[in-house]
Amino acid sequence: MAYPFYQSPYQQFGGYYPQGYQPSAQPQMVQPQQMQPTQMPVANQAPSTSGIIWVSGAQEAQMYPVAPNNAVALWENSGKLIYLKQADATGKPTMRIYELVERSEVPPAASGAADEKTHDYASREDVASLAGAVKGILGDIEQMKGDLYGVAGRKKTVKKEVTEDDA
Amino acid sequence: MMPNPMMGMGNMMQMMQQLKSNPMAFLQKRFNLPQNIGNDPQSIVNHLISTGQISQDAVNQAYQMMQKFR
Repeated sequence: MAYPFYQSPYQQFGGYYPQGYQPSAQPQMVQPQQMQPTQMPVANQAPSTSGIIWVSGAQEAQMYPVAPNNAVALWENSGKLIYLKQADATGKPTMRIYELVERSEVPPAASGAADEKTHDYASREDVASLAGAVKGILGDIEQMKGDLYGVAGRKKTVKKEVTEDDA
Repeated sequence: MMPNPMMGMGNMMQMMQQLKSNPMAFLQKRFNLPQNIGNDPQSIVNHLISTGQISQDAVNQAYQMMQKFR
């Protein structure tokens, strides 16, 4: 015969009492419906947690128990490392270590500076036109030199001839 | 004949007495631990979790509660 109000000692440990238990004249068929064994009082539930498991280091993470086919993320106290510990079907554990890099809201200055630097560079066309201008200027200078030295050379030749005639 | 609700309390007290007197024997009997298992909690938890007697969520919650009491 089933005892609808029998509880195992473990269920009673949290102070669970059957609901609607009244020693009154009620039909047996109704009593099981009044009992709600699936509802657990708040006192039996574990306290709410943030869901983050903190460990002091890799050694403590290595010792953390992980069930087969499960994975647990363990955060280091410094908040910069995450140990992802997994266990395969046989229960063999593996662990990966990840570094946390905080992403700031302000865009990094490096990317903006790089864009400005690309705009400061001259193109090949600009350099070629500049080289052509410089070449033209050099050609003009050479021509002017030639004109200047050419007049000076003729003046020297005239002076020598006069001197020899006098002698 | 209605069962006496106080019977559960009696069983509970008996369990507490057994736990106090010989905790390891109590755990071995209750959770079917092997004889060669170590006395440290780590070994017991590893055995329970590998055999599926406790869930990963239960272990995580117990660990977080333990850290709060530190």
